[in-house]
Amino acid sequence: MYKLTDEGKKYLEQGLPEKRLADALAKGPISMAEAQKMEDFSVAMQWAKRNGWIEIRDGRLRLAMKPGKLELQDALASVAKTGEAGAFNLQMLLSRNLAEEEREDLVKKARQYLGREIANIPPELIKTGLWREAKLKKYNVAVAGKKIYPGKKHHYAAFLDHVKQKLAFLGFEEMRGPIVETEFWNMDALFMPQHHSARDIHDAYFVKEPKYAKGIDPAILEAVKNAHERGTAESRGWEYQYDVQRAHRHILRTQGTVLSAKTLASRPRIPGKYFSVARCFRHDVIDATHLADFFQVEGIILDEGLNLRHLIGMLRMFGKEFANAEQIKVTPSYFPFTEPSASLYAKHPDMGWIELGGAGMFRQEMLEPLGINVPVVAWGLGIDRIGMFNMGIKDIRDLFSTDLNYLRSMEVTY
Amino acid sequence: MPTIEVSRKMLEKLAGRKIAEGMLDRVKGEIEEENNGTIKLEIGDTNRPDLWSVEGVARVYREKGVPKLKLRKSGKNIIVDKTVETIRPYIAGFIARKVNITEELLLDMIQLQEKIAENFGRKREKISIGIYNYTDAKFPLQYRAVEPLSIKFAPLEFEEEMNLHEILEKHPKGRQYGHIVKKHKLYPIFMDSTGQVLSFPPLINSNRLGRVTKGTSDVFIEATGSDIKPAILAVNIIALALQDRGASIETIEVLYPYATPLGKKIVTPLVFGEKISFPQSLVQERLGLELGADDAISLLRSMQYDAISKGKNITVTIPYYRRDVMHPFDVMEDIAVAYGYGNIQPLEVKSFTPGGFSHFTSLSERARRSMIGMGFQEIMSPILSNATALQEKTLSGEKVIEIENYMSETYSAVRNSVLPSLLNLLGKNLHVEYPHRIFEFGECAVLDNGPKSAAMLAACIADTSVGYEDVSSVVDALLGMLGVKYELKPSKSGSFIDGRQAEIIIGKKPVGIVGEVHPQVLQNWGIGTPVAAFEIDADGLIA
Repeated sequence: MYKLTDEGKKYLEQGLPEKRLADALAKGPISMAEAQKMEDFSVAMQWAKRNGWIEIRDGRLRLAMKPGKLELQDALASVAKTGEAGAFNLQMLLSRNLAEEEREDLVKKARQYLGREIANIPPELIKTGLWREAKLKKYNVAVAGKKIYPGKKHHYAAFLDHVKQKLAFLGFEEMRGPIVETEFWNMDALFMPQHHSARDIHDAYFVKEPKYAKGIDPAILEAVKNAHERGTAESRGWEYQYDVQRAHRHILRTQGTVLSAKTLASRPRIPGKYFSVARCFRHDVIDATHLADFFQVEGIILDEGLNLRHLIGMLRMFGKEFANAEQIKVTPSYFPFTEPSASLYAKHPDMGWIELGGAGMFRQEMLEPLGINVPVVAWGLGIDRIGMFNMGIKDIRDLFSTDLNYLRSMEVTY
Repeated sequence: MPTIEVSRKMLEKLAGRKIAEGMLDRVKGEIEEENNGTIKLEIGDTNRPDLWSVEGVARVYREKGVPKLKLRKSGKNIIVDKTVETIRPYIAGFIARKVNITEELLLDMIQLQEKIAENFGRKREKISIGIYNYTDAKFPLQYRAVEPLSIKFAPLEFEEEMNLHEILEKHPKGRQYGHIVKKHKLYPIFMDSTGQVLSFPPLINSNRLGRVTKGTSDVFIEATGSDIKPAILAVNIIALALQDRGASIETIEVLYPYATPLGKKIVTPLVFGEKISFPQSLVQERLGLELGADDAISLLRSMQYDAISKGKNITVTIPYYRRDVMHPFDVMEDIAVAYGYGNIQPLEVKSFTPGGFSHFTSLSERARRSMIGMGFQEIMSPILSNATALQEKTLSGEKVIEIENYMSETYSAVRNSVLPSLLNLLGKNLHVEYPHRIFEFGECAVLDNGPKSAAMLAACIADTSVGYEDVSSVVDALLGMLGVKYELKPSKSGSFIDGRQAEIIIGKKPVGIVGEVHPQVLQNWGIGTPVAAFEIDADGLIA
């Protein structure tokens, strides 16, 4: 048996507040300020809105839909009369605290729980205060609960997020670009000659169809072609005949450096710092240390007066920031688009010197055609290797694991 | 990067000193392994073929200034015929006397020859090299092109004579490199004055005249190629290596019937004598090092340049065995290498710049957080997939970007959707506790008037009982959290059940799909439970 609360009794008499609001609006819109003066306004608003009866336009309340027959109002009357109502509406009255169970009924229900050990505490015991007499079972609290599988980040994605965040904190702005590229941007714009062993280390995947891209900026294309064929101000260039058609060939991006080239060609800030975390693709046999698609993290710094000492300073800082390494060394290296070039190594307690990445100062033959006349320090990190190193992963294929148990079990360290 | 095998004993004998690992920075070298006195040495510079031999590495530790190549005239000629002009136009050569070919030297020479032809010579396309017993051939030698069927000889390792077509088909080198000549009607051939074949460049030597064995004293070496300077560079490098091993080098004069960038009569080896000048202040500008002219010159000489200073300028002579020095900054690096990277004091970059994320990263961050909040496990998959997975198994008619030179069928196309990656995972985890709630926000590429990269967010719920509303409510909550207004409109994708799928429309544009995955698709992926899924193109969320 149920009875109305004081609020319930009031609405039985005056009508539900949302109904009263709708009735008032049926005569015309009312300004918000005026409406707020109405009795039980906030309750009325909440339910009238939920029922889709009203809308606010230009600061005035308007009727959006005329209320139909109000079952809830009838339910109020029914409870007052018989102590019962239909299940759905009764539940609504209880949840709106317009009706409550008769105390005798509650007590009767609560008593059923007495005299035996109970597990979960029923609400009737709490409401009636009979919990004082109840015998609550003692649990074995040392047992872990039922296993749940929470939503969470992929462990490696979390690590990459951490890297991005760190670089943004260091003042680098993120660059992004397409995964299907042209040979032009991926290689030519980096002053890698079209027929040269330097491209051996970048064995690319070629797109079957469409083979060639349209719309490489003709001015940049011409400038890059000239740099390859005849060099720039102080350089003799590669001295060969540049193939413009081949420059348009579609390939899958092989290196994140393509994003640096594109950034340089589109009026970057000076001084400026840019980074990217880019998925790249190489024609490689897949094994424990190679994936056909992998991540590269890289970036550039542009400023007047940058020299090799800045490059070395930056690499040493990266070694500390990303690999937490005690011992770091920077050695001469070779990349087709930088001069001087350097590699960064960190000492691992068990594995010895590990190469973390490469860097260098972009060649003039690359910068001049792209319209840049300040030194540019460029760097790249073998982030997959650093990530595996930090997370204790031995097989690079585990980065793309399809084993759901494994994914669920991985800690999110970052 | 080329890896060479060198004997430590020979290396240190030629260098005149012990070589410790820390000293290898000078050649950008790294010891991969050392066994029984043989070092496997990786040379980091793909543009320095002069370093790809024991002689070349040792030279860096021995010489100051440009090493002298002591040349004597042999008075011998190679006569080039007009027929090769459009096929493989250039040749250079020399004679090395009193070589005393030992087993070790023979192996070292073959290694250098192969590294140059493979790495620097673009797998013999640009440069190939032949070594012959000098006394076997009658000079002047002839370099010409002939009809493939008009000539027969026994190639190395074979006793029987073959015509040039047969060599392309039967000889391992013919099969490997035949494509270089196949496009031409005539094939290059190198023979002596009596018409005896020495070799069929760039494929194979003759078994009779093109054989060098232990105990040979005088050898003749030639390089043919598509560009003249790299071909001469190759013979310069090999000549100097042989001189380092005690040979005396004699030049050969090559006579062309057509013009070349270096004239019609070229004596090889050729000491190019190229010079490059720069202001002394460039050292400070590029390297940040305060060096006097004398210091700079001494460092340069230790890297085998000749250098003089005049006024405020320094002029260096580039060694005739290098073609990688094309800008003064190339010389700067060598100064820094000689100075030692480890001795350079680091400087901090002082400029202040505002850091930040791309729109994509910011959006992906918010969307992923919402999905995780709704109990989804993030997954990460390769972008490379295949047409079977993307089109057939998923019953989608969409065209995909395929790879021409794929390495394995499994990775032969770029995914145009993330959904197949998720279905693939679900099909592999049938015995893992349900429900499976997974999502990925990943890169794809679609064909849309040319290839276009796209980022897609897709999610799946797999459970013994799951339906349309379970996932449409996720879409509703997700787009609500992202503050995007959307509509659902019944759709007709083959991947989903008819009547239980809808297009997600944002601002009048269809940007995604939500629904119950078609049972045929589930079967194709080996999934045993119903799956409700959605996929949204991130571009649609940014707009």
